[in-house]
Amino acid sequence: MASNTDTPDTLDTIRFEQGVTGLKAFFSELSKKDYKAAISLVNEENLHFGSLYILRPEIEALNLSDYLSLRNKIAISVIDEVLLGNKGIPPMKCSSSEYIQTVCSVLKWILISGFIDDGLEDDYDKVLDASSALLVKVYGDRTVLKVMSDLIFERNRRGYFYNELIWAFFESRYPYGLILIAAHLLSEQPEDVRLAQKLLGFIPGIDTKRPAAYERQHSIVLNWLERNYPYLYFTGESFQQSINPKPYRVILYAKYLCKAVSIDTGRTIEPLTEYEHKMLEKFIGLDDDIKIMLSGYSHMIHNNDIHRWNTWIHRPIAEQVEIASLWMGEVV
Amino acid sequence: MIKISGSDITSGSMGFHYMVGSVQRTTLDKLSLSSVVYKYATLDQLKFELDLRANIVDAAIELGKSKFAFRTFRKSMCNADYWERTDEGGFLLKNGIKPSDAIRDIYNNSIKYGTECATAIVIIYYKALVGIFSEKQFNDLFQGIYLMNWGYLDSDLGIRHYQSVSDILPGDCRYFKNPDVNPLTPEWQGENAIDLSKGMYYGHGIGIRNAEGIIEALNRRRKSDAKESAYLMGSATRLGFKRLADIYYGTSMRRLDVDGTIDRKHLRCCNFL
Repeated sequence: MASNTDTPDTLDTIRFEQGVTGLKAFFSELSKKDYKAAISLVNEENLHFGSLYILRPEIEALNLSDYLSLRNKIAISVIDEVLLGNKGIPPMKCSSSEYIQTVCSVLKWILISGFIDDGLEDDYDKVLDASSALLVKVYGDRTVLKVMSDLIFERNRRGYFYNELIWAFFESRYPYGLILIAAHLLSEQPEDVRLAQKLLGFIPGIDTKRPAAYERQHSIVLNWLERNYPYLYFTGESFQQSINPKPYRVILYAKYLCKAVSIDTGRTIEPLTEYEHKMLEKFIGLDDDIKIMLSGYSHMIHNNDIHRWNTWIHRPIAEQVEIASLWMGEVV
Repeated sequence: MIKISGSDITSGSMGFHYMVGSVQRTTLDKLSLSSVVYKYATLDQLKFELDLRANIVDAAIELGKSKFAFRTFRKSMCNADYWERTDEGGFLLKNGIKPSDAIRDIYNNSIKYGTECATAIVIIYYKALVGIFSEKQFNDLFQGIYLMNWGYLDSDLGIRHYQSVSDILPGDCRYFKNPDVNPLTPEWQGENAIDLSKGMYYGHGIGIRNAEGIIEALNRRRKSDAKESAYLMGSATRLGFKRLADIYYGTSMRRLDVDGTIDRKHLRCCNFL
């Protein structure tokens, strides 16, 4: 359900020029004169969700709901469920797969075309947040993360509620989404930088107390992602749970063995070989600092020289530590 | 094991000060019997923690019995005589209002208040402290209270989140996680709950229950095809007991601004975390 949200629909134009009251008055008057024309306008493909949301009471009062397009019927049923908890009968007759895809498209329309009206009222923002959560958690849609990130930082600047959006953003379980947050470390707005630091504070080197060096902190995030991406486990920690949530954790043993993990379980995707199990047992007994050093070294030479890594990983663990510590310049 | 200034302290040597079954005695016994060494600089520091933990439990029970409502931040409400409700749903202490009066009002006029579970825990902490510090001490210390979630805390509370702890103590804030929460009700993604001892917890919005009761309540708020049950995590959130004790006994000077005031204008940025 592609829609051109850049070109304002007739109703959007009236709203932008005459405000919410003007839009409601225009729509009510037109509906009484020519309801088909009014419906045609509200069903226009490039209508912004904000206008439909505003006109919902008029549409219901004038008994026009049955004439709405499928997109608008679904959007209104989403609003009703989010705000009133109404779980009505799905407003369409089609196959399950068509239904699933259509709802996904409508949720994207709500979020992407509705973005510009964020702050209209609390309930409106709640619908945007719920649509984001459904897209990310139910449909696994990562294309909306940029819009969500923009919304979070925009609300932060205005002092509006954003916690549920942050929760949904991280629930995408997509570590590369952190790049979108890291971009705000380079913002000229101090409040953007502070929020980005707080959200990324679980990454070593991102320090909320450091007033400068934001470019360096930006690089730290990118380098951390590059070094750890295959070994990240999503913990689900949020600001509801903790004062310093750590939504992702590096699974060090997997990094040491250079085996990617499932982001959902933190367990290696491929089963370990007998030798790897043996090495793992020895690795687990090491101090945390040594684990970090050894896994960092392992990942580095695995990427740079796989033959050298193969030789190294088959040495006794004490020798591995010695080689790694010399190379990493660490005193062990 | 408890050590005060390097000397071992047994539960028996201190226990007679506290009734069997009291929060203080239960805490003392757990600390004494633990394999972990709990170090205190002074006996007063230990007594302060025992008393504050008891106050936390009392404040939690009292809030649980009040008419304080569960509301999402978007629909949160407060008594406008004492608090200003911010656009994000937090409660900011009004200018000219004593912090101690404002905290007490949440309990006295509980019907006028409603918010989420994490905020309730912070309210409990403040109420517990109101009962220990002198009015002047409390009001000097907590001038710029902003009640929201864990993201906005006065650093003087010294709150820390521990991923895992060796001993769970009465007054600890525990977390029940609900991984399969309905995406439309993220406020039920988990429940912060105060350990009341004897296997009971207070979680705002659920009430005073045992662990199974809280898990059952969270499970009812899962998505329709949920597979994973809510569960109690091994983590604990705790006040900075020693830091607060040192402030209470005057052995630590709190750093105030030059004129003793707090800049409220940039509260969001300054107090976040």
